[in-house]
Amino acid sequence: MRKWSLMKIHIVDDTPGNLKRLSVFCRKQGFDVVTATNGKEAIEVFLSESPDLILMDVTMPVMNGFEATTKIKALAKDHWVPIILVTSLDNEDNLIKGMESGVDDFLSSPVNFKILHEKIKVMKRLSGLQKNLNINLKELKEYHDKAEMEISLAKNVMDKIIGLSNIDQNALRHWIMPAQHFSGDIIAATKTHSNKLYAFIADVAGHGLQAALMVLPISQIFYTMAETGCSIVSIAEELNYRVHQQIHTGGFVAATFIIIDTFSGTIEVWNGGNPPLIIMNHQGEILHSWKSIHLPLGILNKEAFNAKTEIHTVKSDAQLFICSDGLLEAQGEDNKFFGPKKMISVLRKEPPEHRFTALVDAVKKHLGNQLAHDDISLVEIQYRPEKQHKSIAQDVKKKKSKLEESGSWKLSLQLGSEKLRLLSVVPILLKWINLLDIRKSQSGAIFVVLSELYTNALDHGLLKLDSKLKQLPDGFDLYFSERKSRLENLNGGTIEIEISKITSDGKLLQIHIKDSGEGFAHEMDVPLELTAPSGRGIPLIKSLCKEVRYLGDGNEAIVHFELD
Amino acid sequence: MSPIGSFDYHSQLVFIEAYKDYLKNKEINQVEIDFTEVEYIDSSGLCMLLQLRKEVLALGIEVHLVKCGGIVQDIIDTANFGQIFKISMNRG
Repeated sequence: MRKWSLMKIHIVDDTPGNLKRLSVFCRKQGFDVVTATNGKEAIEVFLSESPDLILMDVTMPVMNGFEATTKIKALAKDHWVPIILVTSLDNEDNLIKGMESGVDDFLSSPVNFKILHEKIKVMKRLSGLQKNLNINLKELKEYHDKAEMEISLAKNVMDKIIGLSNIDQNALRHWIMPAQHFSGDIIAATKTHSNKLYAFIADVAGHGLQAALMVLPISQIFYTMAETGCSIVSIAEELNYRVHQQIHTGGFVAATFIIIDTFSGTIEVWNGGNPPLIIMNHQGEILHSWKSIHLPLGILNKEAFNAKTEIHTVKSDAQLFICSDGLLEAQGEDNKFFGPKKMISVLRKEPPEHRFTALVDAVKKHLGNQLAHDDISLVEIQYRPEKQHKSIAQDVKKKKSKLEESGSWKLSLQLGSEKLRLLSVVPILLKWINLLDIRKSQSGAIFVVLSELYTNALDHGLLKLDSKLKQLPDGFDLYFSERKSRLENLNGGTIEIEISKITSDGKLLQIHIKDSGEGFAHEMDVPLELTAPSGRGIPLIKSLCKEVRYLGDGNEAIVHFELD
Repeated sequence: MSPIGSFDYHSQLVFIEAYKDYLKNKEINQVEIDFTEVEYIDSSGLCMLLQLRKEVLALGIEVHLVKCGGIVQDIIDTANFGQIFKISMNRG
């Protein structure tokens, strides 16, 4: 509403005398005045003049005051324009009709100017309040819309990150029902190159955004470690450590890790704080159940944490069912929990292909119109062990366990020209080595040794580049452009790398590298000052390693690196 | 201490205030939480127990969870809290 002196008052009356009296009074007060002589005209004037207050007569030709009021109020929408109905106050009928049509106040006719003056003051004050309210409402709505939009955006991002990337939809089905916008439940699964299925179901204590914030780092660590084939023991230890460090006091993450190896017909599980994981055959019998035998992640420190897993061999086709406690504790309208007994009886009743949907439906039906008070998640995994390779699988397992017992390991890699062109081999190797058991303080030195050896094998062994090039002005540019073009045209040739940890003779890392090139003059006495910027880095390797030996024509090298 | 009803998010503040008050008493050598009247415990409830344990351990005091029954017992068992708390079940 404009300033008092600039207020525009709209007077609607069909009686010329009344109209004149009111207009004169209002003008004397300093107001701007616009007039109309019936309801229809009043609407037109309202639209063209946007007055701040309307004095409305009741009985008028063409359109009466009630109808005009209703229409003006509808046109004004959120913008509040007070309308004062001028009528005889003992006409009850008019008062009721007036209120129904949306009138804000009444003024007895004939008009008492003192009262009119006071009423205008009141309306002016109310108008200010209304205006503030509208601004606040608008701001609130904007905040709300923005928050909703951000939540849906974040949810979208989360869903994508947590998405089960390389898993066949028939092999693994899942259902998450968050109690709030975000779920603190995690379902993650991935298949390794050796065809093992890693699955991870976790339930971050609490729910909503606070819980969901833990979800991202946890699932990313799981994926990174699972995809590189780390054991459950090391994944569980790492995640326990991270959660223990990051989560506020008293927080924890109930978690179940599963590795399904259909090749050897085994299922390995670590369950800390989640309901039992069950495996059911097609006849509906429970073959095994892995109860929670550990504390959830994040409670114990590194030293006290127990990462012991339980391995079970299952030889027949079956289905695994894993759920979060939110499912078992779903409360229906009768306040009863869904419970494990009901879960199993629902699963048993159905043929294997319908079990998952039947359970989801049963939980939804149980909840009825109630909202779940915790996030609910459910996973079903189809288990089909391979039958032909039993003997090989067992053989492989035996060999593997022998290696693990003595703490040593071996990594070997043979790369053809196509892979040599495309892969950054050294970082990949280093990543693997770090995942095995190298102290961070030593990985830098190992990186240098590996890079030098690999560069020698590729640049000089296969690409036959001469390091003297690097000593020319612009030598490095020349060298690298030459290297690029030779690498692109590389056809044929291999590099074999074998890295192993030997524990029999102290702790040693042995790197054995061999290329299919002609070799190079490794015995040549290269002065150090020349090798520093270019050369073949052999003195550098020698300074870092316990032993460096070249075999064959120099196309093969073995180095021993001492581990802490 | 004997909480009543649901031991969950909503009772968090009350519980923390209650045990902070309780711990001011220097004569304490054991904290006992009686679950007789507790119908339900959720993950926030478990968090509260962990928080209490941490504060109390610093004072060299043990936490004893007594008379856990029904669903409360199941939930505490699933979380394997027996490994870090002294627990006695409700046999009645």
